[in-house]
Formats: sequence, C-alpha cells, structure tokens
Amino acid sequence: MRMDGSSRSRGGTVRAAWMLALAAVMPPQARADDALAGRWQGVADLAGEPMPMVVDLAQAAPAGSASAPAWIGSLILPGRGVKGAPLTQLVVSAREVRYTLAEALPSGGAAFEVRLQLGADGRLAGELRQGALATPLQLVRTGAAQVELPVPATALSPGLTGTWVGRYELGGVPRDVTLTLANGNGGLGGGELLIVGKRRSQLTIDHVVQGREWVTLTARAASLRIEGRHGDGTISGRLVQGPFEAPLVLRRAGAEGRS
Amino acid sequence: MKALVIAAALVLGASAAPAQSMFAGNPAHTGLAASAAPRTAPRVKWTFPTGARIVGSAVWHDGAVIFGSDDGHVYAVDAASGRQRWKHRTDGPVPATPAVHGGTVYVPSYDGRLHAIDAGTGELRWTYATGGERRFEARGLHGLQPRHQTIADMYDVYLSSPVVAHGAVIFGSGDGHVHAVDADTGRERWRFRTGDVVHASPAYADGTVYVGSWDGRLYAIDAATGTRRWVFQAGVDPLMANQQGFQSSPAVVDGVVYVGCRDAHVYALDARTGAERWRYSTGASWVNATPAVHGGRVHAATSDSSLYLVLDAARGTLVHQQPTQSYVFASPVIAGDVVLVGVLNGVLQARDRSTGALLWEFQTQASRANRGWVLTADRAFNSRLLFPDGSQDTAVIGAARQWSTGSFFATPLVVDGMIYIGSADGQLYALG
Repeated sequence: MRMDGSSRSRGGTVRAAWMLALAAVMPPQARADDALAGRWQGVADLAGEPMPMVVDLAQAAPAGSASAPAWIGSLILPGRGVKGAPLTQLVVSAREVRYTLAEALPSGGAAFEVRLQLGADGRLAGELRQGALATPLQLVRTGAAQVELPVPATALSPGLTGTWVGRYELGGVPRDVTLTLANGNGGLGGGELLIVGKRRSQLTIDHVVQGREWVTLTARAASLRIEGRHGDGTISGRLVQGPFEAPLVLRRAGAEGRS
Repeated sequence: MKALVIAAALVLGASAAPAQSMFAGNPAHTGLAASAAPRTAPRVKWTFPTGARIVGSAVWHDGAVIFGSDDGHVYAVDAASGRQRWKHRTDGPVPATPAVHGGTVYVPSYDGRLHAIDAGTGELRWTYATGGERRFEARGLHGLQPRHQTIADMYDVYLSSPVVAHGAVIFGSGDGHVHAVDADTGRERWRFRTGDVVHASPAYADGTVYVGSWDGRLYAIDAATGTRRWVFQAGVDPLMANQQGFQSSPAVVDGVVYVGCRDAHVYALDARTGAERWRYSTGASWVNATPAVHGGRVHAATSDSSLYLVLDAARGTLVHQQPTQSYVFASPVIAGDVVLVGVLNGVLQARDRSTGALLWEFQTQASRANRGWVLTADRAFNSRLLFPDGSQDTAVIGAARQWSTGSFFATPLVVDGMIYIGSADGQLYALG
C-alpha cells in the first residue's frame, strides 16, 4: 500500500465520479428512449401476505468513462426495513429484467429472484420466486428513477494513515487492537486489523469512509467495523460486529500513555 | 415602502423557518406551524417511500424535510422534488423527531445513541451513548396475561425528541435519564435521573426544561445545571400501569405548562412553581398527544375516546370537542385558521380552528384498503377482532395490525402551505 498524501485527491476524484454517476441517473440526463428506466412499483402476494416493492432502474456510467452505460438498480421494501438496497445479479435485455434480492433479503437458502417482461401495456409482469415458491408480480412505472448507489469509499487523509493501537473488552477479556491504515493503489483507503485476545485475528479493512470528523472502517468479510470521531491524535468511537459493540479509543502507536 | 414590505417579509420568512426545526415547531412546543394549511383538500404532490414505518415528525432545514424512519435511517428529502438529498444510517429504528440547530441535525435512535449529523451532507459529526434504550414495561401491563410477567408497552412508540437550548441538546432516554449534551462536541453536560423511561420530548422556556417521565412525574429542571426546580406528581396505576405516565410532551406558553398524561388528564401547571392551575379529565382515555396552545385555547386529543378537544387555556373548561373516530397519538398542529390532527386509523383531519368543523380528510391507501377489517365501517378500530384475548402475544400482533392502516403517529410539518407527514405505511407524504 502507498502511504502518500496524493491519494487523497485521487480518492476525491473517485468520489466525484460516483457523484457524477449518480447525477447521470437523475432526470433529465436519464435516457429518454429507455422504456425500462424509471421507478416501478407493485405488490407481491406471498400467499396472502402482501409485499410492496419499489424498484428503481437506470443506466449510468461514471462521467468521463468511455465504457457504455450499464444498468443499475436499487430496491425499497416498505415495511421490511429495506431502503435503497442494490439489485443483485441485475440483467436487463431488450424487454426483460432479472434480478435477485440477495442483498435486500439475505437468505441462507434459495435467494429471492425476480424475472419480469415489459408488456404492451407498459407494465412489467412476471414472477417473484424463492426456490420452489413462486408468485406473480406486476410492476407499474410511477416516475423517474431514483437509484441509490452504495456509499462510496474514500481515501484516507495523511492524519489517519499509519499505525493505531487500542484495547477493548469482550466477556471480561481484554483484546489488543493494532490497526494499520494506508491508501491503496486505487487511491482508496484500506488497512490491516490485528486483534489479539484469547486468539489472534487478522482482518483486512477493505472499505473506508472518511468524513470531516468521522471515519468508518469496515472489514466486510467479517462484518466488522470500527467507527469514531477522528482528531487530536485519536479515533474515538467503537468496534461493532453484529450485536456486539464495545467502546474503542485508538491512539497513534508509540503515543500510548501520553497526555 | 415597497422595499420595507419586502424586507419585513424576508425577516418573517427567516424567522419562520427555524421555528419548524424541532418537535412541535419550537423549543416551547407550542404547536404553531410556519404557515397556514389549505382549507380545501390538498393533493398528493409526492410520496417518499422508506423501508419501515415513520413514527417521528419531520422538521425543516434549507428546503429539505428531515425525518427518521424505523428502517434505521435519517432522511433529508428535497421539499420541492421529493428526492432524497442524503440518508444517514443508525443501528436502530428512529421513531423521534430530529432537531436542527446550527447546521446540525440531532436525533436519537433505538441504538441507544444521539446522532449529530451535518444537515447539508448527512455526514456524521459525533454520537453520544446513553445507558441504552428500552420501552416502558410493567408487570401485568394493561391487564395483559401473564399477569405476573413484565410486559413491554407496545404503545410506547416514540423516542424522546431533542430540544436545543443553551448550546445543549436535551433529550430523554430509556435509561431513565434526561441528558444534556454539548451541541458542538457531544460531551455530556449533565444528566438528570427520573424514576422510569423518558420518551416524552423536553420543552424549554426561560432557562428551564420541562419533561415528563413514565414514572408519572413531570419535572422542571434548570437548563444550565441540570438541577431540579420542582416536580409534579400525576396519577399512578400500581395495578396494571395503564393509567400512568407522560407520553405527551409539555407545551409552555405565558408561564404555564400544558401537558397531557396517560392518567387521563390534561394538566395546566404554573411554570415557575409547578402548582396545578387546572386539570381536565378525559374519563379513562389517555392523552398522549402534545397540546397545541394559541389564542387562549388548548388544542388536545385523546386516545380511546377518540376526541379532538379544545379547552379554555385559563380555566381548563371544554370549549368544544369533535370525534376523530380512532385513537390520536399525534400532536395537533395549528396552521393558520386550520388545525391538523393525525389519527391512528390512517386519516389526517383538517379542522376549522375556531369551530372544530371538519374541512377535509386525507386517508392513506392502506386505511382505505382496510385489510382484514382492522377498521369498522366508521373507521374505529375493530378491537374485538384485533384483540381476541388478553394475552400479550395477541396484543402485540393486534397493535401491529392497527398500524397497518398507515397510522399517523407523526405531527404534520406545514411550510409554505405544504403539509409533510410520515405514516406507519413507511411513506412521507407531501400534500398541497
């Protein structure tokens, strides 16, 4: 990993590109000839249990990119706690749309899958399926697309790169944390997280969002995140993994005990 | 002269917008909107769907409507277009009304933290951890079975909405405390202990914070030091905790604290001493809504008896009352010569401020659909269908079915003649 300050501006460029991509999916930039783009709404009937669904579909490419626009989409499931989840395995071809709800409704078993055809009446009709379970689904276009993009990763400022140490407790057992942060070749922040308690765990921080005062560092493979307010030589916040949460204050390595 | 008029309008406009920056419009919770609401039925200008029910009310900042959802997010939605400007994720439902002050949004979440968020970008500035959230609970609550088991109150739907005063964010918590946190740094200034959960919103006036607790007491607290000035004891219900607790927040007007209580009263208390000036009995019906007070009238509403009440502010006598068909938890809002009342049957009522006459109604699609006949033909809750026995299990399910009508727990936000209100159907509605 590189640890130079130049990556901050490159990260900013990446963020700007995402913002431009987002802008690209907003009207009036949305492609007018695109019959499948837009906000689509309907209700699936899960054997008597209604499941309202709002689907946003659009084509977008990062500004300045030579690549063709790709389809992107996000999903809202009112009443089920899902707002802006990405459509996964999204495939759009001519008059057909397919996607899964793997991120919106993770399932240990078969994923929820949707397959829809654009009809002459302008509606998308098809079915929602989960393994052997299936129900008809019809979506009506209700407006322009409002696709939500995932929170973009950022670069780390020079004040945050380097090695940090701290300690938290789990079940009365202290865990020593060593966190090494740097900007990668792509210009985005990342790092290594070493937790030493009863055992030794080494995790990769692969998603960083740094704001003016707050930073969130995520090890996605472990569904673990460290987040906190940064400044004055500390990252003061917590470590969160599922229902577990512990206060955590990280200080510069070698600065422990200093006031 | 024309320039003077324009300047005056600008000043009024500038002062009106911040008045809608926290629960019930302002720190004293008077329930006055920034503008008049329409007297004829409005149309749906846009809707904004979220992932779960919306319980807290919306506030206004820089052309954006800011509110929380039980899907765990705080949203800023462009008022003109209905498009999302930003969202901020918390780790729990957000059934509270945010407060906006100095470009920062303050809102608690069921994750047990107060979140301070940049109002322009949605970026988190800091969080403050309380002792953790929980609902009010009691043995044999509401007479439910098992009678000797502690049961969480399914009707304790709100979290405490913050008030910002003296450079501090002040709010109650399930940990039984009222917390005052430095608005800039997030550091604790003081905490005040009550006897139970505090989910009402503190009101502020003249250096004093007023807030009720589920312990059945209303406290007056010095805003600077966190010390108690006086306490008022309302009714308690040791048998089943049904007729007890402040879910309503106080409104403070002209040295008087007006507040509803689940002990089936509206109270008027001297703001300086806590002495009772009058009480109005609603029979056995909860008063969960926060009163709106204006022009010598107290606009209140009840739950089971389903009434919109107008009381004389000086004497506490009934001026008139109107049926709302179903429970009212949402606080009435005075918007010009119109009073808006959200009802748990999914209907928003607009009434003439003077006479109480019904001007128009807006009904959610879920309420109109009335799946499973949750509502009777006259839009009351079909209680015998919903609550077939006295067990806590069916009570929880029955309450959820009540909310399935798109209940309005939230208080409407009225700005520039537009009405913004969230529903338990998960949608924020813009009506105008």
